[in-house]
Amino acid sequence: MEINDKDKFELEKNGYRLNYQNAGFLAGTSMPDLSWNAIPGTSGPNLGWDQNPLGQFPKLGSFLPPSISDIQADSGFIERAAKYSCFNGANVSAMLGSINNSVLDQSKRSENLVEDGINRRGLERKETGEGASSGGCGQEEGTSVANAKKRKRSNQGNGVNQGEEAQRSPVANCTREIAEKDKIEKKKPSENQIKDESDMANKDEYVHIRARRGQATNSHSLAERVRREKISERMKYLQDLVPGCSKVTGKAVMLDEIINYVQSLQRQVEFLSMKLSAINPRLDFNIEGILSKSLFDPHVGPSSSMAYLSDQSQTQLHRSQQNLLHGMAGIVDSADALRRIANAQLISNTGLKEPLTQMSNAWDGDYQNLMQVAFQDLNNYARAEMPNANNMSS
Amino acid sequence: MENLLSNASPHSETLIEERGKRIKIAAEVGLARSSGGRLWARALRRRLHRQRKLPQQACIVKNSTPPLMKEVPLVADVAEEKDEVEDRVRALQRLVPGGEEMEVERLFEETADYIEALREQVGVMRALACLLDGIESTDGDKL
Repeated sequence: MEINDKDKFELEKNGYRLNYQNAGFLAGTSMPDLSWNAIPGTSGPNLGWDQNPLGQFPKLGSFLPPSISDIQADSGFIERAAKYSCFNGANVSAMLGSINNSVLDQSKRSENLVEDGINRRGLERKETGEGASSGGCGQEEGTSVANAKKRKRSNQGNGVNQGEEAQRSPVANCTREIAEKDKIEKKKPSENQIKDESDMANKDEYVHIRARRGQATNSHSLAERVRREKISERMKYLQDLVPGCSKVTGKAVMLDEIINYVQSLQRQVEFLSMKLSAINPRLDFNIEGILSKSLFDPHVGPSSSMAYLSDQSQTQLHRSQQNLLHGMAGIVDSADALRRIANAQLISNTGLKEPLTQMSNAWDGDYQNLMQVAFQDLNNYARAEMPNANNMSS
Repeated sequence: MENLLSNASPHSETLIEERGKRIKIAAEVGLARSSGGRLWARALRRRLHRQRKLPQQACIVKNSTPPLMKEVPLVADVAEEKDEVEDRVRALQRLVPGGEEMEVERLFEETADYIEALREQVGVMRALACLLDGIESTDGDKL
């Protein structure tokens, strides 16, 4: 069969590299010969594929019923692709696990045949490999990959060719494989799954990555490629984090921006600490104590009031600032000071240097109500004081 | 701030600086405590320990030996580009506490987390400064 010949070429070319999804892909489609698939290439150490009888090449069956949503199906493929394509990275499996958990269940249920011991092992490897990225990165990767998946699906009808896929971004590299799996899923019979598994058994110790068109396929460059992809993921995350970086392209300039930003943040901390030291509070605030605890102190009072306050002011109180708020409100006992606390929250959240006096003035009308509710749990003393303060000020 | 300085006695300028340093250290302590699992936080805690600024019980995770990871240069396509990028990576390593011993991937992770923590820190300090400013001026008015 012609299809099997293609598969065989593929396998020989990759040598010791398993590419079962590719084989499956080829097997079921009438795609034109893809250059890097069809090359009867140098066969590296062959792991017994030659002994495989023809026509038994692994084909991906329909692992997931088409009724499953795209994202879920794609994410299931993500795992499988990644588990065959990722190095062992840092062991941060929890990160990726949390992302893929729900999808994992789905895919596991429907991929019973393939999810044997090998795959489980591979899955863990996948999680550790891919989980090397930070949690945030992982999330992004998941979504970005899923988005890429959607694009791929729309292309399927047009007959995606490998060359086009090769030009996609590194992050979408996985998606290519996954998209192919999509096609495979739709078109392949499932009898090759079994073949898959037995072949998997021999190959799980290798890194399974599909080579891009025109790229070398030895293990070093593939490892490099994986590493580079990880690094570019992280750089993308940093790009989002650092303001004003989205237009910048190029690693060096990006890194410049990042460095400047970190330096400016550190300088701000220094400047603010000088400023705080210059302030001579009449009350003994123990600034150092507050600062050394504030970001971390887990013992926070009821947060319902804070939530109310944040809704009202449309800001998001970080936990650190909640702590600060609690600390301050306990000390302060005037309506004006309470207003300043609220201002301080706004400032710290919006990063403005001047207090939002307009905002605080606009609040005056509702201010007492707002403050009463907001600080109800927090500062009974202050609440009691407020009517007095209002009497005095008016 | 200028008013305060002008009213202050000649000695208090250094006093303010000294206080500022203490406050900055306290801020660093808070920063270091804010994220226990991160390498940069651990390195920061180690540094503070060495300076004996961090009380013992504050430590969540105390690593006596830093993780031994070799610095791996960032791979770029062109040679000069590679140098540029490497320079900057090294600069970043110097900025992020504990970055010297990290490889690039890790460095970027830690940098992202460090940036977030720094931002929070700045927010808190700014809020504090605004608050204290306000209280001070209020009290001044009342008097």
